Amino acid sequence: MTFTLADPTQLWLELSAAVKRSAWQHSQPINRTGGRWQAYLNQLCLRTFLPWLQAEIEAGAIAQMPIETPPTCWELVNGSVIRLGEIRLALIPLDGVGHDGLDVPQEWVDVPELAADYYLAVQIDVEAGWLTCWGYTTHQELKSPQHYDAMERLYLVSREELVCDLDTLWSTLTVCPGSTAQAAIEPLPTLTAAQADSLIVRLATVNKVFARLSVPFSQWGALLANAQWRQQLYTRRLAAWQGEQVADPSVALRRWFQSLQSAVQTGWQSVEAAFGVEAMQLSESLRGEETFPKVAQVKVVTLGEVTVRLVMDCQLLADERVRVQARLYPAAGEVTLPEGIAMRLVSESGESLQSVEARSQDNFVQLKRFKSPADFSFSVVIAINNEQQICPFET
Amino acid sequence: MRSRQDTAEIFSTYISFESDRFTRWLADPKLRKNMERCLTQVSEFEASKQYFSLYWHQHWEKQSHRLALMHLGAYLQESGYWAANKFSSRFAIQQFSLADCFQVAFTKLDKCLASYQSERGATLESFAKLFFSSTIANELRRAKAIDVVSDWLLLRKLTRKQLIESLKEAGGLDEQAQATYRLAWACFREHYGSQREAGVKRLPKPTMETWSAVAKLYNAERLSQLSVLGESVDASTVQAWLADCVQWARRYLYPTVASLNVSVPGQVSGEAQDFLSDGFEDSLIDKALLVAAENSRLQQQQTVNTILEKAVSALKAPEKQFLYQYYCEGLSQGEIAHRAGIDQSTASRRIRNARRKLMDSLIAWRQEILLAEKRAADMSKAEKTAVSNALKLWLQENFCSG
Repeated sequence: MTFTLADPTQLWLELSAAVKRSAWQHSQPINRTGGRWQAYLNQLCLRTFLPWLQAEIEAGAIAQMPIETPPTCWELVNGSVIRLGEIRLALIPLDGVGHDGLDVPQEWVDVPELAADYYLAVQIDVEAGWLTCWGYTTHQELKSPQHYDAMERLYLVSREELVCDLDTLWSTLTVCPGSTAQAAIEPLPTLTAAQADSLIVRLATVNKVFARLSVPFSQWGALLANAQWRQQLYTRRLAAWQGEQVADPSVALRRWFQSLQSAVQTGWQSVEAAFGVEAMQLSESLRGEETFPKVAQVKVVTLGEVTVRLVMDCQLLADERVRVQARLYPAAGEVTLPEGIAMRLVSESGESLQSVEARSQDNFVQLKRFKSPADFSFSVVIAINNEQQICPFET
Repeated sequence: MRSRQDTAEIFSTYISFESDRFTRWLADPKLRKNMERCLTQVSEFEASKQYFSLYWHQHWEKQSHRLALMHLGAYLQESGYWAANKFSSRFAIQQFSLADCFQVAFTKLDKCLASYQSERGATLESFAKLFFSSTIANELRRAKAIDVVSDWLLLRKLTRKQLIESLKEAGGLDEQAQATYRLAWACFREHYGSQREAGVKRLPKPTMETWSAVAKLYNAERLSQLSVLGESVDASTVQAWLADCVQWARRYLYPTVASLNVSVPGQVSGEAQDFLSDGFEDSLIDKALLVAAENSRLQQQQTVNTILEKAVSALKAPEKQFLYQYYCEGLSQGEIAHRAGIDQSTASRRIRNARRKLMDSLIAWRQEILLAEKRAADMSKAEKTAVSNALKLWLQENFCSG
């Protein structure tokens, strides 16, 4: 009965109970109703369509973003991409009624890393338990100003503009393998690490529900194209919605040496800015072997009523390791640290490596200087009276 | 149903339904008179329905004249009837009668005519059969789905494209107003959704809490998404806006049978007087070109037939048999599987594979032509649809009768 209006040229696939279950499970980390549902639909779509594609059309087909990794993209944008060798198919799931057209988010069209050759309209009826792939278009035909909707950054096409016989697609790929259907795409400007970090912080708050529409497209597209940044944004947004204190993005120390001289990392300031006239005096104490490039950055940390300044003094050594010296100073204008404030060095697994605690008259405290090997992650934790702040780093 | 033979009759009569059954052909006197006039101006060879279908189609394309539309509407009565009958006889769809399906098909007559290209090989009549079937299927699909859902679920099950279209068709909404409703709808979808794997079927009505959350989100998002901010709104305003959207969506989604006048001859004959006198330009059409177009259409069709006959003969016997059972005998995939003693997924895969092989041969042929003409190797949407139609029609009209 469900299939009575089925057209043999359209693909109908059943959503199995197992697929539904795992798709739902994988969407649960997302705490926003709309985002979770979008992730669920995309999971259902990819987990049902991809195995069929591999069985009947091309055994080597793979998802561009692996299914088992966290659904970093789907909290942000609808759709996913499958690679068939050089050819990329974008699946755009819709859970509405009827086959009235397709809305493709601009990300899949105008971001070179994400753009596809073909765009498939996939209608999913979760309640009835099936999906149907009923039409498709090409990048060349989609990417036209007359299809573009600036308000929601979409390319919209009507039913009449789609090819409703998928066999024409599979045959095209059989007859002329590797025939791409992509129009030229303008490259997006590249973001510096500092710009990306700052964007991520801006977008990872509960009042940026529709993150993709909150910043200029060129910036957004460049951010999304980078898997690492996408992952960071996802993690931080999840945390924001779970009402957790949002952890700072870990500061990549080696990148400091490339970017920090000019740009200032979000949340961090130069010694001069943080210490003003005291800076001269301080930099005396920070002076080390000048043969290696060196940066010192300061973060103002507030724990309840208490404010202190964390100074990270780092040196890039010849063997790619970073020599780190962490010191804690009182707030501007104060002479001594609050008694009992503690600073700890914590490994990635949460193990405490060393710690130090201020006594009643300490002007500053410091951790023992250490050399952090490449790919090593650690945190500096500052704590007093049950309050703590974690500052993550990676080398 | 008695099929029409006489060319003048074909282009001037309409089906009359009674109790959901074909009763007779109703003649429109003005159309009839016009056809008789046209027939005196052509040779006997040209006086075929094929010639006149191209003739009126060209007139329709060149000056989108109502007279041409009326003649074509008459000509395509059988195509519409065939498509409507396919649905109402095969599937019991209670809320739609045969006449309803027929009328639904004709609401898209304009689009059907706009999509037709004679050089692709199909006759307009055959093309319209396919076009009308897919139109009816889509309208039924929507109607079936929206009939059973509550207002708020309907809004949940609307696609973005459908919302945009229904706002455009609502009338009286300028771009800013449309943007306001679109944003309100996006905010509604963000907050009104399923918390369960099973979907939205049993989703309770939105609570006051939900409406407040929607309003709050709207108020924040309008700052970045709307070019004209408008007032900040409360829960009840947002609820009222979305209630408006429900009405517009229902109007858009439901087949608009009432707006039809093409297939009702009595109602239009009053207008016939006007359109016969309002500067209808007969001389726009080059008759020699029409004959040439028809010849090249026939040639194209012949080529398609040859290619597909060859492709079918290359299929393995069971593949051929499955195709025949599926497309000609109308067996379901389950029935075919049962007869062959295999499981249904295997049967359905074999049918698909067989059809794909036929498609491969057509695509290879078109690609070769494109390469020879040194055009871009990518086939356009129109080209692919034409190939798809050619295969569908061949399966229906040649494979099954052969």
